[in-house]
Amino acid sequence: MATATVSISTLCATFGTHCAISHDPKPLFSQPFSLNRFPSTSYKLTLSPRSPISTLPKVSESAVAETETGSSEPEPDQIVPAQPPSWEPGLFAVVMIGGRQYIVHPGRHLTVQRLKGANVNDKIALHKVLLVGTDTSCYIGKPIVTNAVVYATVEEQGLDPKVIVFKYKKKKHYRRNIGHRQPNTRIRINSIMGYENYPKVTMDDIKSDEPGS
Amino acid sequence: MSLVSSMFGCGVVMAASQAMGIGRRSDGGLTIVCSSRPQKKATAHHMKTRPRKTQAWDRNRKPTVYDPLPPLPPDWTLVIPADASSAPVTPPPPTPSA
Repeated sequence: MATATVSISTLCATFGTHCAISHDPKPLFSQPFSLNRFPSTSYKLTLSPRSPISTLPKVSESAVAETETGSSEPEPDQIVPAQPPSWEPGLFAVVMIGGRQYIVHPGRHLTVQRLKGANVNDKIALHKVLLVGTDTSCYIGKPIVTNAVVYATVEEQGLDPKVIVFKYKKKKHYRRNIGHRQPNTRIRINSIMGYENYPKVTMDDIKSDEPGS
Repeated sequence: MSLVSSMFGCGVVMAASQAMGIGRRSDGGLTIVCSSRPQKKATAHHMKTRPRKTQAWDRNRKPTVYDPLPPLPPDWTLVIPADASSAPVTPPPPTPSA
């Protein structure tokens, strides 16, 4: 009960802050920048009246934030309020890219295999979301979390360090020296969305299922 | 007296046959005993000792059969190209459906 009340109070607090943020139009523009840059100090920055200087890609991010707020307004949930501008604490997702699974957090960058067709500053969406987790709950995909999408921005199209393949056979006049650099792509995770309606698993469910407790 | 001698003669014949029979039996047993557990070597030994499924619970074991996976979405899709995002000030981002 104590944990439940604590969680409810935190939810009310976050909902209150969300309402305050939504009332004032200026913080809406500033939220994604501060959130992306410093997740821990995002609340302080949003509460302060400062307005950070914005550039073109950040403007597009603010546009994305605007659409997020627009979509969330007609569907308010009292139990679990939708908070597109600010993410749930400890939010992360497991996505599959190129046959590999990565743990992604909003605001962090990730180096994956070369994504053909994606240029620098492109916005991409990752659809194979296998799991979404927060501090209090977990959405386990079967095999994927339906309707969950991870949005990211392509930062750089680069190459891995050079790998030298050297072959040599003595007394046989055989010698090979091959260099190879694997292409990669660095992406920055912007947001994780669309998982709220999926059935979740919480610690309470696990504790109730455990025998002998 | 002839009857007695004839009976005696029969007794002698029986004894001889019994003795001969006993000897043959012992020979057969020894042969069987010797040939029942030979010490096989190399391939014959491997053929004899390799693991085989003999129990019903073991013969019925097979690889796990899972349900086929539903069709999965692509790994990634392009939402907003760089040129589109750079050209206008506030481009309207499309909402992709999984």
